[in-house]
Amino acid sequence: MLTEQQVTQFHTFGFLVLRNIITEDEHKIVSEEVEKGYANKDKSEFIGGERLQLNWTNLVPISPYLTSLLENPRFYGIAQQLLGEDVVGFDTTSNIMKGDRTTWHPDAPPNLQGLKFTFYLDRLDGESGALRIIPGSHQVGFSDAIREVRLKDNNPGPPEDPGLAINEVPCHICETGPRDAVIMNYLNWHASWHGSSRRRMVTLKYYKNPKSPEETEALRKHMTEAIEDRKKNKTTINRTYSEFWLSNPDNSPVRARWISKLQEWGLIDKVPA
Amino acid sequence: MLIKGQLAHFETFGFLVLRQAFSPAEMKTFIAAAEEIWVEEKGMSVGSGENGGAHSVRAIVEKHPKLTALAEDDRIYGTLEQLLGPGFIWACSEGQRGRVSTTWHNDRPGKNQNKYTRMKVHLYIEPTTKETGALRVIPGSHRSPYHESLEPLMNRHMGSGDAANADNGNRVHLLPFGVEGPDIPCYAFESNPGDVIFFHQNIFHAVYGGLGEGRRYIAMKFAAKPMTDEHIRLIKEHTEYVFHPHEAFLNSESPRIRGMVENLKALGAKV
Repeated sequence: MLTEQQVTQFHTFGFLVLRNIITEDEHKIVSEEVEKGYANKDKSEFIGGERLQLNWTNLVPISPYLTSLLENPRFYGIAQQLLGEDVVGFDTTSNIMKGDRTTWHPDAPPNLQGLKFTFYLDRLDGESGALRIIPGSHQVGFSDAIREVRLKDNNPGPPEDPGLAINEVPCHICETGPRDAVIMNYLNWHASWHGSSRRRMVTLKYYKNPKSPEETEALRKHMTEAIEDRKKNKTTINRTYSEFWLSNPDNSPVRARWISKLQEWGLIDKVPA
Repeated sequence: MLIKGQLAHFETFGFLVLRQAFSPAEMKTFIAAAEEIWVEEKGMSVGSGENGGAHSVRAIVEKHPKLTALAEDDRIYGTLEQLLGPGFIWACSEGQRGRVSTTWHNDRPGKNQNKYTRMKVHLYIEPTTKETGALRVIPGSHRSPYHESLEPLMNRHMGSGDAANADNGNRVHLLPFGVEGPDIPCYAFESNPGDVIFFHQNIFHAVYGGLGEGRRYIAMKFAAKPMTDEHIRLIKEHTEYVFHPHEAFLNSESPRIRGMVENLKALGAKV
């Protein structure tokens, strides 16, 4: 669980680095499951422009340990601390990135409240693809202002004023070790620079159960777009849930509540009997 | 002239860096002039003496014509015209030297202080890195409500508390985010001589790290043209001295220099 000060740090800066949050044994199991998942993937499905990202859900039978982490109190408990008791586990993904950069972006539109734990599994620094974050960029006003800044790679100006390269944007560089995790608000602007040709990343994703009309509307809009995206794109990250996960073989009440909520949000059509 | 992207950078992040704005030859001239004033007023070499040899000389730019030239140089004055608008005012200068770290703070704390733009311009004389005395800033921290959410950082700066030995209540007070100052998320302005940083004085900033033989910098302060009594009150709250500019500036033959100070006495007397 987080201290009161860590909670304040997360809400103020929009992220938090947790050192050695998984054990060496867990790191080994997680790495093995990521490699198994990668071996199973169609390598023609790399997406995401410069970042060249292959992305898949861990909520499948070949990654039981990663599946379990979403409900593990070490992570789920922290998500509850930060987003409320009724937070909803959304997905856990594995990712391999071949590109050397990820352009600056937030993961969600304004008012959508959620967070993800990100594990990089290898030691990373500012010159080897570590996560770069603009601290506080989830905060109202600041996030919109960043949209006005010209960015050479994904929001360029005219030739005489092309904008900032990824590594020129003022930010904090989250240097991480193999057993560390970064918890990040979806609204925070983030990027990476000089990543290797095989950067691994595992995520655990949670959404706040919306409370205000603005949060409810943001979630509704986001989910509608996700469902549309899923219909159109074979390689989308907005994939359907597996029968394995939906069957909830251990009758986890936590998972049952999440499935019910995801169904209410339109992300699950039907739960297998 | 600044381009649109640079203006958006300043507006968004609260600071702007101009790399190698001044040549090595120009820097040599400025350093020699600053050294003359430092030695004349303090008589000490860098890093020596008590408190890590930390010394601040007020009005260093006003006291030497070769430094005064900096204040009216297009690369400073012209940039400020774009960032602060016409009619901006001079708010004194300082020459800093020493090996002292500075905890997280903004220069103008208080209600509504971040609603009126005041700026500082720094030229560092030695190369700096994050771990050796570079200015660290929290980008965007001049903006509300982010600015207010960082105000607990001032607890450490304003007090003399020792977080390591504090009881739990005081520890939360002194370390509101649970980490020591060097671990607060930030951007470090790593610089070489000739680089210039322009920053909003309400941005949170700090300096940490081994400062070696010491660091030296020349700082100039400016403010947007005061348009209201409230602006004057905000200036007075922290820097009454702004309304008593140095004689050298008041009597300057340069229209730019004189223009930045000539109405200040009258303005100060008004409120």
